[in-house]
Amino acid sequence: MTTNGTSISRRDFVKGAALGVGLGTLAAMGVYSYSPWSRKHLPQVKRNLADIGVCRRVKVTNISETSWFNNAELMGDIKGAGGLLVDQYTYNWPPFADGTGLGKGSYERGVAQIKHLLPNRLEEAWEIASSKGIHPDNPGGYAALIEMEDMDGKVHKYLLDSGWSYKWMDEAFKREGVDKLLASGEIEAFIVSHEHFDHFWGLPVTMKYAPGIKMYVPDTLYPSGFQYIKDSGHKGELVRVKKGLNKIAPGMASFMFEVPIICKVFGEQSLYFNVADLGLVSVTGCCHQGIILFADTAYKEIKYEHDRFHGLYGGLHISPFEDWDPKYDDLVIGLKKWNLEKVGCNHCTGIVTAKKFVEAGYPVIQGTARFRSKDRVYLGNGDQIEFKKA
Amino acid sequence: MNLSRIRPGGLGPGPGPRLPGLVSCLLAAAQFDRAAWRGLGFRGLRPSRRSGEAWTLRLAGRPGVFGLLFREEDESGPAPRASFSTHYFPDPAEPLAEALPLAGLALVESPDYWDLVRDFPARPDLAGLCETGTLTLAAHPAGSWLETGLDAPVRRRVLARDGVPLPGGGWLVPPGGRESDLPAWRLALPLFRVLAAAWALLLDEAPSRRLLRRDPAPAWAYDAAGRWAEVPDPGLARLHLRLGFGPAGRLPAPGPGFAPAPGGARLHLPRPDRAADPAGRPELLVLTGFLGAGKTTLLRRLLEEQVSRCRLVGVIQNELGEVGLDGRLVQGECVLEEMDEGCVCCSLAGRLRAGLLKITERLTPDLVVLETSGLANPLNVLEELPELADLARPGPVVTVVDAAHFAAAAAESRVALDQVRAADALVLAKADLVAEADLAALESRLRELNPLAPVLRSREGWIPWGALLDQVRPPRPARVLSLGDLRQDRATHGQDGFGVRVERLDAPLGEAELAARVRAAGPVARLKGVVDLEGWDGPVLVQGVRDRVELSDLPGPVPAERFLVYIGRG
Repeated sequence: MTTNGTSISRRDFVKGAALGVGLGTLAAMGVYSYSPWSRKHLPQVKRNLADIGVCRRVKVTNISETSWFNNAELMGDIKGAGGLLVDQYTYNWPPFADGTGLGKGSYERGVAQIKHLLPNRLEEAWEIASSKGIHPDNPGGYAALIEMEDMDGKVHKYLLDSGWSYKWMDEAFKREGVDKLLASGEIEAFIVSHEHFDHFWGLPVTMKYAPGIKMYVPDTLYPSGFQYIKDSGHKGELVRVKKGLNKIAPGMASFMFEVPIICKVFGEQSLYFNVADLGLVSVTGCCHQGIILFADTAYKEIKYEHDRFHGLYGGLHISPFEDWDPKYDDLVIGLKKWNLEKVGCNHCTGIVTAKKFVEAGYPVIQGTARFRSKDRVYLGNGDQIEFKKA
Repeated sequence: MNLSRIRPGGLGPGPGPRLPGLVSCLLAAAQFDRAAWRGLGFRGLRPSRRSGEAWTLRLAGRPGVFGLLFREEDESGPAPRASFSTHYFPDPAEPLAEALPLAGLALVESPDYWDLVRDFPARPDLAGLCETGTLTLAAHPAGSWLETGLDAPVRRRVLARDGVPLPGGGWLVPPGGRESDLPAWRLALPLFRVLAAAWALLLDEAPSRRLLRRDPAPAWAYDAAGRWAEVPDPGLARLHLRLGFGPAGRLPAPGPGFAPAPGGARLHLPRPDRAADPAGRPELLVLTGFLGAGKTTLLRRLLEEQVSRCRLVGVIQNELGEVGLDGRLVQGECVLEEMDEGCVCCSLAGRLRAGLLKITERLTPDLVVLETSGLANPLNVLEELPELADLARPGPVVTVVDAAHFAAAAAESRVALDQVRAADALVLAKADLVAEADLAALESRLRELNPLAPVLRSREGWIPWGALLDQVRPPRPARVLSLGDLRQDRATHGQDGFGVRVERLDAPLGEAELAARVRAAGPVARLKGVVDLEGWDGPVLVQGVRDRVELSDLPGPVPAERFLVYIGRG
């Protein structure tokens, strides 16, 4: 390629010249360090630093994190129905079951069996759906109660997601007193993170106690999803959250990520809190978009105290993709750069990974493994985590 | 054209760039189908958001890392149009690195090169020096058509007007000589093709229009003062490729100078490799190693990794409870079967078949792991696996070696040695309990026993399973030699040990000579090797089982030597 008539290779030249002195020396030797064919400026990435306000404290009570009880059954059903790209409403899992078998169901035929019983006769509805559905004892569900104390000391309550099984979720709601909180109007809003069966299909349980509650849902729900909100008896205000940042209250915002998710679901919103003197705290359903994207987005979009990502509760997948350098697929390494100060894991994290976190010295708040949560390393059913300046 | 698998409802409302988000959705949707993802050629992807929307990724067939960086989107017309710069960051070991401009080569040689690559948008020097071209994307807001293109010079040639002097006198590049001559188009095209194939896969249609334009392009020249000028060079050209999806009549009119692209291999888009297993059989991975070696921890980590990828795993163990998985912890995570007890050597296939049937009859696992304990000789298992070909595809053998106790185990039992010999990959567990010098000695002994298997040290039960399995999975063979049953003259069962013979090769072989050597080797249960074969570009992986000898491109790192390893009885 380049002929120089000497025995010094380009590599040797570059290594010798740059011995500890870098490109400066090379430039002095007639080597250019920038290229004229590249556009002059790389995209200037300004941090938007949107002000979402600040709050004093956030407490999360895990109502239920056991989305289902037998993973092999679940995965077997998904594969049997045709795989990860298939519409979840076709599985013939309760509550959308019509007895025609795995992969042959539909929202319309499924809901027709139980619509007249929603949302006040949930036991009957679930009985019917169970009798016609596949693996009716597998559904559990995900839901969390969030309490946010504002700077004036007032506590605001929110519900994140409504789980899956009517039976399981109603029991869990009663156990945590969420049924009463909903009925009394103390819970100000209900936020749906995404349309997945284990976060969304238990919707009628919330509607039973608070049909007039204000709901925030991603605007990318499928038509069946929006129809279900109606069919479940929702009578309150429905906020269809568009992509990007969505302020909810001082110190609290959701961010809607446009990302395709398995089982033909699209879009997930996750919650960001700016806690006074502490920093960013996030609460997610599953975080399908991955923690890297989640944290980078927070950095780019929001202003938060001390520029510190303080704490996290929820799913902990690094990324939907395998890295090209496998060591970065290790969550412990991948999360290091954010120096999280408090972490709560749930079933989305995985027991072995969660234990590794603990072994690696991460500040993982452990739980009590009650009510069918698998291990103390999870913030399990009934467990709590609080983020506030000590 | 149906965009709904990528982004339901078209592009969505503005304002703001919408096409980088569409690319994100494309990639996220494409990787749900793992087989297709890998079949297209993706080998790892990392989106980066810190300094602009960018992606770094590896592709099959190239050791370096590709980069894609969103530059700008023009929303002035009826359809948004975006441009992204494409980059190639060579692996420091590849000869192509030397084709980079010298300053680029200096960055490649720097110790934190890969960290720079990972965040390349923050480094305009690295990004610019490794830039290969521009990728374009335009899409109708309602999703009725989409067009993607690549603009790049065939070669980016730079002349140093005043030369590049050597420190001691003389010239590295004489005045007026070529400082660099990067084959930019050739390095940009693989990235473009993989993305175009992903569009085709998710849109479920082939491109309806392919256009090409060729322009003359100059070389660049710079002088010692840092001034640049274009230098006409009739040998150089710039290519513009456009692929359109959706009804051809609705695609926007191309600019002047475009003509239908010549058909043929250059524009051939990779197809996802579904033909790998039309019968849908799961892969059978054999996990072996002595009692207490650390298999269980490793297995649990594999299960979690597979579960996080939404893959269903079946596990077959013999002697459940001895080293067994903690039933409570993994219940429901995988499908667990126990094999009947009895002599492991005799009718192993029969009992394994029963376990496999139980699993595959009611479910369709992606992967079945056969965990054998210290007493079972995996070579017996390997011999029998072809009998199960209707139920499962042979997968790799992974042997866990207890770093602290291997020497003692090997002294007492042949099986420990056979476990190492049979392995496609070796995992060294409990390495933290052993001094570094002893570890190095152990690793070198393992390599002597098994020159081909990569040796990985596990950290608290963690190894990069994804990358490891990619490396050791038997690739689809490019050629198959039928040499009759390699196991002819097979001795009867019993406690005969296995023999292993390693034949080192000094010179490249022709296929006929390879066949002759294999025939001359006598009855063979298993054959594996790395050879240089005439007519092949690189080293060839040779694998023989039963009556086939398969020749494939070597995945993974290249060993220094060439050899054939025969494993047989007696």
